[in-house]
Amino acid sequence: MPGGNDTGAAARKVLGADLYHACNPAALGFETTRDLEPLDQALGQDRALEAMGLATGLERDGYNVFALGTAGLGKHTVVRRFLEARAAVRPVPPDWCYVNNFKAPSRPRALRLPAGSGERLRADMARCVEDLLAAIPTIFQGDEYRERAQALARTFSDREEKAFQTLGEKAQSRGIAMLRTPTGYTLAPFKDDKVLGPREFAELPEAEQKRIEAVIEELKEELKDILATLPVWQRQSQDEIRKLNREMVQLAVSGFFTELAARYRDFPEVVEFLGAVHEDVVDNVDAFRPEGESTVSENTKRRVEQLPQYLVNVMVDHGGAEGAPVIYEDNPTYTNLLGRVEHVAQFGALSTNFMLIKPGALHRANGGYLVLDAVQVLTSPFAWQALKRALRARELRIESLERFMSLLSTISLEPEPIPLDVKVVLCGDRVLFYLLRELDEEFAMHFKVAADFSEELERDDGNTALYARLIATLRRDDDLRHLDRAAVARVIEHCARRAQDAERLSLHMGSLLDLLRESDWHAGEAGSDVVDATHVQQAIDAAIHRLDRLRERAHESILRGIHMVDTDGKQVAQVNGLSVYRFDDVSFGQPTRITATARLGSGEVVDIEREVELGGSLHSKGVLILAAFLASRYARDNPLSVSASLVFEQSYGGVEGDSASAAELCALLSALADLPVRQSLAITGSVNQHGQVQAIGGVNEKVEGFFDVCAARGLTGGQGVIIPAANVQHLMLRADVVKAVEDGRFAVYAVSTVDEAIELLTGVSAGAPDEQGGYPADSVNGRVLARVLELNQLRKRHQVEMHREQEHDAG
Amino acid sequence: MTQAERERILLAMDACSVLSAGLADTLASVAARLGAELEGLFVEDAELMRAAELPFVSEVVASGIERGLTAESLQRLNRDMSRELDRLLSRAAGERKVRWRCSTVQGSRLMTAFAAAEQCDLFVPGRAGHRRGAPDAAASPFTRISLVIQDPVRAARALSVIHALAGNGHTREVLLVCDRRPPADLLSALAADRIRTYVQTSTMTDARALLEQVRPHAPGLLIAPKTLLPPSTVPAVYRLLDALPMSVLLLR
Repeated sequence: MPGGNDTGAAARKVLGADLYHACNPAALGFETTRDLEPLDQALGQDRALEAMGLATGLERDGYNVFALGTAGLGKHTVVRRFLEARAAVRPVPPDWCYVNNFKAPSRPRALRLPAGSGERLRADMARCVEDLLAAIPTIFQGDEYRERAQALARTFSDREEKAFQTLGEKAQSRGIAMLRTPTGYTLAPFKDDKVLGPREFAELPEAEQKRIEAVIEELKEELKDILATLPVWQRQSQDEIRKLNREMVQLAVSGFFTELAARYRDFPEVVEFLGAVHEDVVDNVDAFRPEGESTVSENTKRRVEQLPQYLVNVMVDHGGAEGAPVIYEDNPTYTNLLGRVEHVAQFGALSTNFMLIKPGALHRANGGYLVLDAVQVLTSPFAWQALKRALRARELRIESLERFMSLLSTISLEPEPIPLDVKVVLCGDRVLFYLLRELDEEFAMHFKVAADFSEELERDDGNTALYARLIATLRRDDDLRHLDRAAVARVIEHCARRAQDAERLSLHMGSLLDLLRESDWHAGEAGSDVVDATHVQQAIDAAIHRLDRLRERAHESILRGIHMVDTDGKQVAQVNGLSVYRFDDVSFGQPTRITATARLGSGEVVDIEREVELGGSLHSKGVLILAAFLASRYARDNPLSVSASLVFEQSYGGVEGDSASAAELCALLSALADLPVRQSLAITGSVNQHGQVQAIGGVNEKVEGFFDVCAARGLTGGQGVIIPAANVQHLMLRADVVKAVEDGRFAVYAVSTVDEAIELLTGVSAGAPDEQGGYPADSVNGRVLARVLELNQLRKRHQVEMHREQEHDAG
Repeated sequence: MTQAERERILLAMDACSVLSAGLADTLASVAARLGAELEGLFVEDAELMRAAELPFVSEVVASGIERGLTAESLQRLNRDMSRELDRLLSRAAGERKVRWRCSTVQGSRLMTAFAAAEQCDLFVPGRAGHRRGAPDAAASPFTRISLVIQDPVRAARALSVIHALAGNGHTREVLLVCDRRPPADLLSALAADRIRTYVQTSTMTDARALLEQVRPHAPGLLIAPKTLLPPSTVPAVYRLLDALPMSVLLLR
């Protein structure tokens, strides 16, 4: 029989341990978590750790890691612990400093120094500047300098005085007075120590007047020559003073730099820097001469800060570190990753210098490991591009984003790039990983290693024991009360429920830790020193209750008859389907009435949800499968002259997934067979073209959702839920559901085929096909087939009549 | 204190002098500390005015450029500077509640000013500031002080002036020029004001030699007794003082 129809095989009633895979506390082998050894390994993450081992061990470009898995798995913790263990045995990376580039101040130089030496150099230079600030003014206040400087000044002054004096005397000898004016000099005739006025001058003989004017013109030219020569003399004087300053300062400061150079003789770049500082100090000695009279230490410190060109900006200080750094940057913006050049406002203008270069996470992680959140990197403008560029170039180049964006036009710096040697670990979810692989060509080049974190762990005895130790470890790390074995067992059961699989344990560390913390709180409230199963259950119940408002509203809506769901009686073409609603961390099941209609048509099944764009593609796929199933089973040799419509009644939101396709098919069969369906049952499962019922998700919530409605209305013993047989392994039902089943007040049926399901729902045999593909007339399939054939006949008749009418019209 | 008892501090300026608010403030402070009266004297240089009236006379400015010099422009400049002196003294004295006055006279620049100095207790002749080679004596005249001491009484008066200047935070070092060991109380008083002190000995007989002795200490302020200027040598010494590249304060 095509389709593997095994009609006749009865649906299985699920009982006992199949409903709830309990964890036996007695089998755990301890009394409380006090008896357990902490777990050193990351449970269930061998695959991810192996990948991390490869990436950290292989010192090649691109062997960075993308740690993928859902949020809350504990990726960051596992990654951090792994990296810290690796980092501890790696060498401490060097310190990096920026110093002034005296030849090109806009391009500060990077200095590499052994760990701890950067801070030492910084302190040495600050001390050196402090010493220079004290020593240099002393030079200029000393008698030796004073005398030599005054002698130089006097030489110039005397030269100038002499020039004016000589000219003055010459003028006087020729009857001309050289008078000072507000801005210079003038020459005028004088007689008897008195300058001649206009009238007295006019009284002079004309020849004398002409002589005087000629003499004045001649002297004026000489005066101009003297005044023109003064700047030359002054420059010479200043040169001499400068030379003297250099000589004096050179003598005074060379000792400081000789000592420093000796201290750093093993580092040629530092020695070169010290030489440049020495030269600059000598050339710019005025910077060290105080403008005011102050010797208080606070002032000295401030003055040291005012001479940043001689200081050292320690970008990365690994002094006292043991092993390589492991850095987690939780806000990986462009500047937080790459570093930045800050500016200070001075009189309304922005300025900067190399002391304002700030390191980024890559600087701090250089020589070690950097852990980043992938979403954060990708959502920070330019951060992703910057990270890739740094990894590609293997160097850290601080570039001003503002300048790059043309947002700022102030002078900025181009610090010398620093070689980059870092392993980057990006943490993110799987979708992001696969999107990056698909859409970013460079991603695979830079992140060659995927550390895929498992979401769950197989639930066998060995892993259960390890899981208990994991619980004990989390308890220890979070300083919680010990748990007794019943509490541990309850936690393990809950983690299986969280994994949606009785045979698996969730590795969602965030949720597990939350449960332990909340259980601990309940234990504390109860005054207990140990957390027992009651406290765990209280924590679970409270967590559900906190987020249960929506479920309660939906549940209430059904009980008040607003949302129509029958839990007794029979209806044709009406089946209770089951849906799961998920809101963030909350999920609950709810029954939904699914109805079908069937009529004469051409084989199409109309998905009303899709027609109004409330159905997702998976749901539509499920509905199309139904059409294929109908055609293959009931109209293999004839056209399927049926049109059907399916609808989720009172569904006003979107419907996605194919887990209702079994319910939809049963509603459709009921409609075609005109057989009523038991409303005391609900069904979930997807079907394939051959009528096999396939596993779905959220089976526990779905069962519990229908149970809650039935329980509220009163359990009759005839109520139950039909689930795919493949989902039995996932059952971890609530204790009240299990109890009701054990008491015979509720039932869970496992089915493998739609025939098993329709038998349960209608109470009528599905009917096995005979050799010709026929079915017993009173079986469900027989009635459906009869209806299909009937509709076929109707269609043929209709087509003949149509043909006749067309011929009549044509004739 | 009556007006007759009140000391007088005279600041004499002319068109060639550099007018400085700092100088006015400092002298007003000294006047306040000494309980003295502050007096400004602006001398309109009669000889320069006569020269400016000659049709062919021009001025060669410090940059070497020649330009016209007219009586009108000189009168205007005199008027402006006289007002400015009045304004500066008014403000500086007003702030310190010091009695003050200001007057303008015509006459020989040096002779008129030094003649007026005879009638005052402290005399400060204005300094010309345009010559490039000379240190700008008016800009910061009180950082270094050269103090000529002739006798203990005048030394005490000089000390009170220095103390007033040091109180403004100006004075950092003092060169004592004297013919004998300076009084111990003077040295200790200067040390108390955190002023570095140097001592030079001089015979005190020849004003010209004495001025040459303090000249290397320029720029700065020379505080000297008016008796430094014997009447017979006055014009010559006036010219020497005028040519000294430092400010001068003469004490009675």
